[in-house]
Amino acid sequence: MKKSLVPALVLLSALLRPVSSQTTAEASAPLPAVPATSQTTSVKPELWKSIVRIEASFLFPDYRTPWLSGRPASGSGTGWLVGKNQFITNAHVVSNSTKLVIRLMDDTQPYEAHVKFIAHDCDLAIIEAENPKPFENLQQLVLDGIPQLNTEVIAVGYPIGGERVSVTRGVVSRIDFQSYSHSGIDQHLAIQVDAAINPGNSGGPVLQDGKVVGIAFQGYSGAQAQNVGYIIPVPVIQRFLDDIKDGQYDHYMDIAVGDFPIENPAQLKALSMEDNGIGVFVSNVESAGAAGDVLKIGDVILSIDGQDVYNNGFIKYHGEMVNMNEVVERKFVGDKVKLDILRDGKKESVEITLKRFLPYLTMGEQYNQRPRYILYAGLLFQPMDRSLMEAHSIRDPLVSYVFDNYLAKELYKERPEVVVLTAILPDEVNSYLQGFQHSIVDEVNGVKIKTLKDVAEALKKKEGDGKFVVIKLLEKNRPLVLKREFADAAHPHIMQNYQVKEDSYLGDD
Amino acid sequence: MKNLLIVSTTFALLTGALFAQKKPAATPDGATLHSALLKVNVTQQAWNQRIPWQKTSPSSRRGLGVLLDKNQILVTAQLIADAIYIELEQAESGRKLPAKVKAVDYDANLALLEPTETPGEFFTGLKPMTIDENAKIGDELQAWQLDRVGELIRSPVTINKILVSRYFLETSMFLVYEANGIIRSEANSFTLPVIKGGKLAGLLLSYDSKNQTALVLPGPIIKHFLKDVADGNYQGFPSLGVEYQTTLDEQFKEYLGMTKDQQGVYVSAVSKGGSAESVGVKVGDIILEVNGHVVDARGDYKDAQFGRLNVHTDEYEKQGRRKVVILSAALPTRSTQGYERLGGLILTQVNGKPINDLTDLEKAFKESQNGINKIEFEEAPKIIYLDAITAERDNMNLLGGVYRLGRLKRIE
Repeated sequence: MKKSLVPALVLLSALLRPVSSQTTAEASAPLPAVPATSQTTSVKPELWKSIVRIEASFLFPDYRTPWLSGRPASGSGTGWLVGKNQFITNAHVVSNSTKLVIRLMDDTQPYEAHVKFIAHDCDLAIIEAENPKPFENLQQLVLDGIPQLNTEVIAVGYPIGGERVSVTRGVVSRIDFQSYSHSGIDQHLAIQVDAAINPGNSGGPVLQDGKVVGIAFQGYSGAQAQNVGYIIPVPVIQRFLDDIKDGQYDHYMDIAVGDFPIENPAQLKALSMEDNGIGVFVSNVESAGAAGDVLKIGDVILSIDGQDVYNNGFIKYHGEMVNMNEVVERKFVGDKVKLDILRDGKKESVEITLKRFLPYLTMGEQYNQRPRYILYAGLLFQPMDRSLMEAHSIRDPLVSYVFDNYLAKELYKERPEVVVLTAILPDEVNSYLQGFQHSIVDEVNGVKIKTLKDVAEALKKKEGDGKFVVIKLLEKNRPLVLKREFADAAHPHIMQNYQVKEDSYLGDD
Repeated sequence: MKNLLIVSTTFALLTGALFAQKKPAATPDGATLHSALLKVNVTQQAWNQRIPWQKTSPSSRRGLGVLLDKNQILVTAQLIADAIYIELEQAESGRKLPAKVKAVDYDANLALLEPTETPGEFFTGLKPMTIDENAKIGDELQAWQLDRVGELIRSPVTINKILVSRYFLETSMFLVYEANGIIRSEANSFTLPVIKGGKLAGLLLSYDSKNQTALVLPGPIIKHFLKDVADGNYQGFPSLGVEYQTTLDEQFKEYLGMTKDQQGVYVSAVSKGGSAESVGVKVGDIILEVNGHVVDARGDYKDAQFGRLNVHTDEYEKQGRRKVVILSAALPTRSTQGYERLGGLILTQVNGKPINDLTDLEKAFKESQNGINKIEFEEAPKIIYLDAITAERDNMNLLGGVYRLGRLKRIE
């Protein structure tokens, strides 16, 4: 589940330790053969065959030139048979892919495949081979549970360092909530292991006693940490598999609530709490989120679905202290979660019906999506999201402020989509307009802009005598004005000169 | 000075190379005039923004001051910023006299010093300088410096441009001479006087040795400052209180209803309470002339003395923007348990009272309810509580404690 206080969380973790960005990492194992002495390695030989190499070709969209196809690239990861002709792997192995090929351990034949389900929020995907035949006799791997701390596991996959299958071994180092770097905004339970996890291992199974206890998915990059690899644990995998049983993936749900620990005696007194270490302070409630009408800032959450919530927002889960969001994690759209809360000193029980909180997506990485845009007389309009901010290296203080506070200050209410004038393709018609680059579009021809589509419609609208196209940009002190006659005439030339085939892409629907 | 009696009427023709060889040269005229220069030694200590009850470690700056009439010494404001002790020093004899700031304008980067006590004989033999206001492009000026024993070093520079630019603060724009020439760096780094024909033509603001370009704070600005100080009520430089945009863009011009050859600039913002607002200037107006000078589409006008100059405008102050008080840090005490990581949070209310400045905060803290202070922020965690009695006890412990807290507040 996503935490609603993304900036605060980042700050907190930064204070706890210097976090460098976690790269998508795959477990690598240079040992070709594993001595059969350890029980963790007692994998039935036929199971090895069900662990496959996935080769992918990608097109990474370029948000700077959204009318182009994007940048081609290729890579590989690992997958394994989880159901009939269903190979599970990481979402990041197959995201933005244009072609997928499955290769078996002892078979030189490439088998074409396609993505059946993809879950960017928990970095998991199911791919299917076009022709199920070659895999009919392969055995499916079986899911186990959460392994104990300090027990041995092996990671199997096709990491860099060679062509054939590799195995690395380590122990379970830690069980905790972690950021999943694929989306950049999600946090789920993850298990840290000290088995080497290297690029190419992604999607590969991590086994204990021949059963799957996780999927290798990311490592810890940076000079400070050593032997830190993360695996997606069974509860997260199982949730994904349950979610897609109805034929579609419905995503993680969110209560969209921020919490703040209660450690200070003054807090206890002010909130009329017992001094028993139970209860966490509600410091933020997204009004458009699932708890928007139920919780209030200043409430204290005492329990979630009957489990005590400690003063730091944690609960006991399988004997481990984990974030209370773990309860929400296991649920699906429309499910309910019961909270006991303390409001103004009185105990109350409330129920929250879970739903997704869509404004979050703006903050996350975008995949498998053609960038949307409108080009008019050389002015390029695009909706703000993380990929856009990164691609255009936008440093404008106002745009950065809106991006950073889009959730915290609920700016999504006024502008569900923040439309940015990202670039101006130079031409005679717009030669005095370069200074307006990287600004937020507030109004076009008198129409308030709430989505990119509004721009498309408003550009056609004629205000007054219709001689001018008038664009008001947020906090810019003069309107951007184009003489419609000139702009309409220049538009086709600009498209031709800059080799833009389509002047807009507004989405599929 | 006595050893500098070699007369050189061709001084201005001396090359930079000769100059670099430290060939001292002075006219008798120069010898007298140079007696208007005083070394100014400043010890400064700024407040530490992170630990606001403490000052940063002291440092010192040296500059050259110019003696004006009534025993007043002119320096740049930059030289005396955060000064805690100022001392005047006679270059040759080394005699010293403590001084204080009589007037300062940080926007205009000018300050006037006067002796702290009766100067006695200190100024005897020194000759005050007057201000030159008539420099123009092409004029030859001299940047004056004193070497270790008080000998005059003169570097010729030529004004090649006069423009409007910022001084050291980012606030307003002022007139600046840009002059070319080689200026050797001696011991004094701040405030070199720039002389024209024996009069003070300006103060050196900065020197770019790569391009051999000096920026000079000019005489007319100094004169304006002195005039303002002299009447005993310093008001500072006026400003128009508008922000404008150019009208070079023909399409924009047509949209505004201007004819093709019409000049002028578009008023894009008017400061609340500013000069322009008081006479009814509005956003969307076109400024055509300023004091009879025609303003072109770039906002430039032609000045009889200085040539083409940009109409001076200020940063537009956004309307209704309020002062904010932030929680910058929480010192680890018993009453702040759990809040140690908070910082950079804008306060909205304390004990139900809105907080717009520190005075509000001080008052609000006196109104705790049931012994609890409730502090509310614009951002998460939105609300924290402080036990008023524990906090008071912690305050007492902090005074004189390890953080060397001398006082709990400074509200000015």
